[in-house]
Amino acid sequence: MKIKRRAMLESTGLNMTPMIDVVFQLIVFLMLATDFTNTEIERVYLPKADAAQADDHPDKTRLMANIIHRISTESDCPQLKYKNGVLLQPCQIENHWKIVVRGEEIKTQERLEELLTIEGNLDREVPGNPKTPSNKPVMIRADGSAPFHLITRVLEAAGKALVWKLEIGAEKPPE
Amino acid sequence: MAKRKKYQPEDISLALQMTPMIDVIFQLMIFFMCSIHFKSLEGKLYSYLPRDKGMASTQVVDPILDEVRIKLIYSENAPLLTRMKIGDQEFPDWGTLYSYIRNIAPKLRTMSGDVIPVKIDADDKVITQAVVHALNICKKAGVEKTEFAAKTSPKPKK
Repeated sequence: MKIKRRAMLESTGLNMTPMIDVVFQLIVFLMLATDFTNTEIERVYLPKADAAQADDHPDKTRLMANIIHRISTESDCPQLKYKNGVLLQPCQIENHWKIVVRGEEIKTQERLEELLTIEGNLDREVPGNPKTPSNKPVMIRADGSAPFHLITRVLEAAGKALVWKLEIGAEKPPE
Repeated sequence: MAKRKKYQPEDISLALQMTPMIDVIFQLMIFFMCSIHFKSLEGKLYSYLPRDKGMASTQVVDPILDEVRIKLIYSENAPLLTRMKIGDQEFPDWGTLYSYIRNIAPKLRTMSGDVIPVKIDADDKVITQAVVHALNICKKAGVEKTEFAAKTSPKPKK
């Protein structure tokens, strides 16, 4: 039987065009949705509060004090237990909790006060006078299971730096 | 002698070589999928310190009659179940505390227009969720001024 030459030359490859279209769409979406600016944000399980206001237009330069659970060893914390985002058991081991500001783990209260003072100095009521109150907001993003005395430390430092506009990060529970 | 095959223009594929491009695109996609952090839908509760006094006015003193102080007590046996007290009255759950605060909220403004704050006085070990819950209840009940009764915290261990 005679086989037509043209039939032999027909391509049997897959048509890649729709796939490439879809993949490009995905890349464009992911590029737009990725937010690399919030490098200050640490991963925490925020406490839930239905009266929380949406943090719609945050000051991009706002200082964030993250209170996070971080352990240096590979093993899991023997105390902290979450299940599907619900706290089952908090961790009371002191050195598992860290205050992290702009990626820096705060070791001393003096350092925390120093950072808040520097931040506060950016917007003093009387510019250049560190003894006047600052209108610079500071957000405390604490894990829901963090012991309260860590928040107290930030409040204390903020008080000393005369930074009074404090915001406490909270997550609005689903309706 | 074999006859040389005649050059056929339609034999040459003019299609672009797509394989490297697809490889790169997949790499890009995997990178973005792994590194994506969606803009988070977080909220916040305002909790301003007294503007011109810093922490000076929130030191723990013996409660006076004109002050509402929510005491959050940590219990070693049940760390998740924070006990709540206002004065001598203990509340079995958050709902009861909310009803109480809602009832007294309108009375927290004096005749002279001053606002009596509600102070949240939590034990050191009380979890943040409980403190935020108390703050949340105050906001919902219409309390105008909420403060933290912050003790001087122990110096962190180095």
